[in-house]
Amino acid sequence: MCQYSYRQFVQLVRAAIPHRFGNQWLNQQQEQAVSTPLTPPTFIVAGPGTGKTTVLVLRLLKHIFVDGVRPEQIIATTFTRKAAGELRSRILSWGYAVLDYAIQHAPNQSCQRWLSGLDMTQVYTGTLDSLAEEFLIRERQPGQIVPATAGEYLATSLMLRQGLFPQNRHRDQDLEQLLKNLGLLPAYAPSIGSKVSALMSFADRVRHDDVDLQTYRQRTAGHRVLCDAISDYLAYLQSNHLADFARLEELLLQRLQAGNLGQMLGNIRVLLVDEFQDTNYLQEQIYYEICRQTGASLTVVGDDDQSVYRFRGATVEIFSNFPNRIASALGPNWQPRIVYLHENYRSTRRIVEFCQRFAECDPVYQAVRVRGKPSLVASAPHATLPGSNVPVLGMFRDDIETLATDLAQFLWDTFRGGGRVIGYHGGSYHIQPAQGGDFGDAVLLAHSVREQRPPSQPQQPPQKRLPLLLRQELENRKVPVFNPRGRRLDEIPDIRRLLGLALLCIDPGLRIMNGIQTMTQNARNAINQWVQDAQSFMRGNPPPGGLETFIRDWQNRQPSAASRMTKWPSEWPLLELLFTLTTWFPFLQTDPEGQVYLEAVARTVAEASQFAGYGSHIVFKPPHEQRSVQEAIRTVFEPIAQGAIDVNEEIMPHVPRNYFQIMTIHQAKGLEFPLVIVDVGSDFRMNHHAQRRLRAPDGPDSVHEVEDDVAPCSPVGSLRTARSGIDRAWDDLRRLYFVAFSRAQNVLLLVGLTSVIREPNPVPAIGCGALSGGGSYMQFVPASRWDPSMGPDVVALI
Amino acid sequence: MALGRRELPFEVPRYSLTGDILSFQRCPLQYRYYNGTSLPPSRPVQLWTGEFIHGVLEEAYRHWQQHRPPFPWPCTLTPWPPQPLPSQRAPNDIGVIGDAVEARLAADGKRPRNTKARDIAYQRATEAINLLGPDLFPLITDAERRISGTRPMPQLPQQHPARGDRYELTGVVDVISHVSMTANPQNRLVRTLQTRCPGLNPPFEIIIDYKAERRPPINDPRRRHHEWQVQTYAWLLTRLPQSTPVGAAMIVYVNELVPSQEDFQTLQQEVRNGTTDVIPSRGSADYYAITRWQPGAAIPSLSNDYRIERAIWIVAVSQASLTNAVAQIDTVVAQIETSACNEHNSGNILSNWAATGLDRDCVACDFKHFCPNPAPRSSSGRRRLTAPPAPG
Repeated sequence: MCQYSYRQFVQLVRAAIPHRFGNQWLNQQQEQAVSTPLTPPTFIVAGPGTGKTTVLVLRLLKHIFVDGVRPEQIIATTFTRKAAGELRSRILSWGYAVLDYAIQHAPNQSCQRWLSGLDMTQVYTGTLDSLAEEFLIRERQPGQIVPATAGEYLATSLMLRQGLFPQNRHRDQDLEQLLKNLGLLPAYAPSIGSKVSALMSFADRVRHDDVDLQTYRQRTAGHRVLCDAISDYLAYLQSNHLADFARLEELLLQRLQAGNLGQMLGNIRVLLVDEFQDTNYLQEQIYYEICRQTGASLTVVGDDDQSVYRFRGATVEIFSNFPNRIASALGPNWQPRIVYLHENYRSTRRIVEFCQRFAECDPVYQAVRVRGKPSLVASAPHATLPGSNVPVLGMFRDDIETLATDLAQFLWDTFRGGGRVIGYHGGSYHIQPAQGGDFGDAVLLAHSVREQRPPSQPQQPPQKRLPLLLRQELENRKVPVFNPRGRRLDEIPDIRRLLGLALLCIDPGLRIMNGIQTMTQNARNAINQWVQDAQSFMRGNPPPGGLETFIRDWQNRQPSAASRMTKWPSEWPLLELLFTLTTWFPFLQTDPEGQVYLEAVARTVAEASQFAGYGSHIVFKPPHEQRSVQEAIRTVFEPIAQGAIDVNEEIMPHVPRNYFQIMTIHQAKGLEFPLVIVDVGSDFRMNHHAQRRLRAPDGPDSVHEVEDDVAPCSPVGSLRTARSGIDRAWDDLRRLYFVAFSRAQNVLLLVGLTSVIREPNPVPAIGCGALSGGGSYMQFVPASRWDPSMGPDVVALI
Repeated sequence: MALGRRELPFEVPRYSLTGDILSFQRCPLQYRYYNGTSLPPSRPVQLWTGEFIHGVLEEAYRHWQQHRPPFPWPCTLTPWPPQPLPSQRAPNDIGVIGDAVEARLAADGKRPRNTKARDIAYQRATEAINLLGPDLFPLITDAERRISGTRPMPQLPQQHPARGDRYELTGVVDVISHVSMTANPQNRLVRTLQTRCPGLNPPFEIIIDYKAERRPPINDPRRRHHEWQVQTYAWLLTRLPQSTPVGAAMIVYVNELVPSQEDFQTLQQEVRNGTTDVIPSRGSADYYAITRWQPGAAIPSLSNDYRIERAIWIVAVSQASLTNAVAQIDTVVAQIETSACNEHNSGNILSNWAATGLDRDCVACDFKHFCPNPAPRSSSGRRRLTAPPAPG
């Protein structure tokens, strides 16, 4: 073996990666986080922009070169596949740079041989789901069937068929009342879709929180029905060799607890966990079990202020209480060493101070933060340049139409109009793009990016939201906008036409659809509208022409003259029909954004084929034709019409630079932008109680209600309920906007309606400074009256 | 003040040899749709056959490793649709092994096209186990081995900055076998290797790759791709710590063990035209069986030796062949990266990913109707888009 001292390792890294570390090494806290020994565990509390990934990767390399751990003995996990890809990219890039340099400069041949035997690709990086999946595949026994992973739509469909429908549970009043009490269903006329979503979240919850179903089901009649539905769903998965993500992790934990670590985990010496603040109880148990059985060195990294995935089972309290929890689970030797990273290398001083103040302003919130956490310090090279320290800006208007117009003009001025001048008392800032800068350097972040809100009355049209108005304003200026989550899949015109055309082919006149008794009227109306759109499109004879003939031949079940077929086939895949119809939709063929929508449709058909009797084929022989078409409508068209299918924008690797992006705050986690616009109140015209959970909660949200409900039956329950539901609701909202604000590098702009900042009696909104105990701490002054001596609480209005 | 500029995130892209590199080679545009966007194929039956054969062979090896039952192994299929089985089956019955593999594939939505396709897949798996297993299984040291390595990112055209300084290449080797100094000289595979690669001195490793297809004719580009694939696996293996040199690769064309009517007809044409590299000696029983067969008649039985000879293709591995293989991978990676960059800059897919598939790639391609350049191609260049005929 060729072991380096820590000092030699530092020299090695600086020499091997000169462009990054040649002139600048780590700060003191980062150095401490990298250099601490293998034991005891290391608990790194890392604020936004504090170089967390750099520290994690260098610590991993230090384990290899200084501690003599081989790459195949290291596991590094994180919360999303995207983050895992980024982490792996850094490990491989820096790892090989250091390794190659070390081999070239090895002190002797034996050292060179040892170094040559290191393979950086053997470091396991991924999410815990993917680790579980890979473990089950690699370590399976002969004859053992590894379950196939069920995607979200498949899992939901199975819950509907195996959990909700049996024994008429979808009509069960006790179940409905329970779900309403927990805030999971609307008070009036809850849809089947909302019930199945509630059941899915419970199915995840019982695994994530290790809920004792036997005890839980005894609470009320509604609980009994709920537990039966979940048990039936889980039993179906098991007997059909399927696993949803929670099941994969559950199987991994079971194998670990049985002592079956196999080759993959048996030799692990180092476990690094990123984004630990979003860990759930099941995942915590997996990490601890690996450590218990292997004695692996554990490093966890995260930030309680950035925990935003409670709705997926994330339990920030596991992070905040990590020192006590691990010591009580594994023994006093596991009491961790804590390192705080607080030097921010992302944002200007004003933005850093604004974020810090936002985190510290509410005394009620302080009780739940990690103890002893130091304040963020702006340390980026641009952080303190006087000309760069634009105040946090605010744009508030009386109505969203004006807001959208002015915001679009601001963006246009900045990126196309030679820059935007912000005059203040005694000077001005000129905000302009970098050389080669474009709209892709800015982003609008919002709690929800939906472009329309459902109407309050059935007969009214949907209400436009800021993302839609801004899109229209920018598109009028020929600026493309990327907001794939802004519209439901069936609101995309080409998708409506595509699906309408497919229906014209398989169910002319919608005779079969009209015979389906149990379909909701909303879905029926939507599908009727698609068909009308398709007919209108067809009449326009879109290129390359021949669409009417194609549809007519399908309706007559007669091969076209140009076809090689002499008779109509006995069956045809629905997906093939959809791909063929794509011929008339250039947007879906050639635009990367169009592909995002086409993928969502195709994925729905493919997943439906896994549980549908006809496998998403249309079978043309009576009585199968009617049944297969009916099944296709129920499993593909109806879910899309109900808005149950989400797009996966990650298949679009990079959004073109000239696009302006709109994204949810959750989507923006881990990203940074030079100009960040945060919608803090464009929906809040008045102090309506229905919106309070989004701006100033007056009670627990449904996720907190559910946490409280399962708490007595879960080992993690009391950890959460130590804090009240309403406090947790405020905490979560504060963390969400903290994440949003801390994405900004140069300029942070808050936008909303004037109602949220007007004096007196603003509509309370946390993003504008509302405090849980009442009142507000932010001040809003016209930019012309702002001056640089003002504190971080003051927002300059433009 | 100037805003910062948001750069593309640093990334070491990950390429699978079969899933990315070979797919792109077949047709960049098809690769963009199936792999880039992850559009599922509308007819995934071909996936079932390949995965079934691989799954059964892997499972059979795992069973042999633990229990060492003697060959030949029985094959009693579970009837389809399910009916009571005629008798109790042994644990090494290929019908039992196949049930587990079928269940796994069914859970993933993969099913055989029809009973005929299922039957012939079982027959091929059975022949592969019983004809090759006795010699192959004792040599195996690893099955379904996932391997990966990195290479410096190749130079891209100047206007395209690379998103990372390296790329990662991954693959799954079906079988790695070890031939030691003390290898059984009676082992048919060892003898074959020593005959085809006379300079090989144990110890060395052999890469074995199963193909659920027939042996391609001499001039078929698939031969080049298959050879390239195993050479690249060999390169990846040699990069692993403490690796033994790879002496050769063995590609097993499983269809040759039980040819279908269509396979046999093609074989007959190839033997007649001299376009295959494994032709039975003139006057041999196999020669007569092939050349005198009438399409539609029952497929005659060919000798085990001839079927095995056709099924196995030995590819010699040398430093020069490895260097050549990875240089070609670099070229393909540069092409993929350049296409992706062009798409990022222009926002247009069709104009940045070439359509180069051959007839067999295009016939089952879901995007052929709007492909700007589908096979067969006219000499006049890009076709004019026309409406597809119904049903598609």
